[in-house]
Amino acid sequence: MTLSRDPQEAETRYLHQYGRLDGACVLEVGCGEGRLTWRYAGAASSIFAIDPDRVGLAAAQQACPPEWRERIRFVLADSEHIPFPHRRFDRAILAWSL
Amino acid sequence: MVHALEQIWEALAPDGVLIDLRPVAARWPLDILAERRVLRAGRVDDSPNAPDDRAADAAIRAAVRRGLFRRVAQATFPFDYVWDSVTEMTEHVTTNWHDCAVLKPGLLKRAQRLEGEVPGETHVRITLRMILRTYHRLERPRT
Repeated sequence: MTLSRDPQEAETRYLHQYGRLDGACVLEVGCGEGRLTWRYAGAASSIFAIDPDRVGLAAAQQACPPEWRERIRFVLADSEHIPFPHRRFDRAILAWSL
Repeated sequence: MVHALEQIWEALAPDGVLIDLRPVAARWPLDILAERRVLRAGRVDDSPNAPDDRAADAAIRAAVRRGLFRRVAQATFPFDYVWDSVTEMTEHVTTNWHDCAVLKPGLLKRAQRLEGEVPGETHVRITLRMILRTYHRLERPRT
């Protein structure tokens, strides 16, 4: 099956325009397989991406390009129990997850 | 959901920004894309998604009322899903979107008819309506 998601990359444009993610430490809530993560990973200084789905998270970890692995951490967690210190993040993205 | 927003508020730095990005129910259009034409087949019934939209909106409104966040900006934009055929689109929607969208028989029939009528290569597109809202974290929530 051939499926193309957002071939015009509107989501990427709007996310960067409104999110101002350059150099930011980002918490992504509901990262799934990392589809959205890859769209801003080049701009953020560090990313902590959480999801309660083990399978999706494993796929994201596997797909993460080697050059980003030091800056992106995929963590098994849900939005009701965020396992990070307080006041840590510049941006929090609810990625299709609210 | 409100508890999740409280957790995010705690995780954000004092000048942090929350970005809420999601599709919303808006009777998403289904089109057949021909070489030089877009043929409108109709609209997907995305009403099963509406209660989730309302619950998410209510949660964020509650967080704003509590003084956790202040809305800064809002934008809407299209998000296209494009398949090679009506069959592939149907399989994807029934497998993955069963809780948020319904392809009614009349719509499917029209899409299949248009796909069959158009010569040359065609694709099938559903355009979701996306909403992006940004919120500044406020320092002193109301108790």
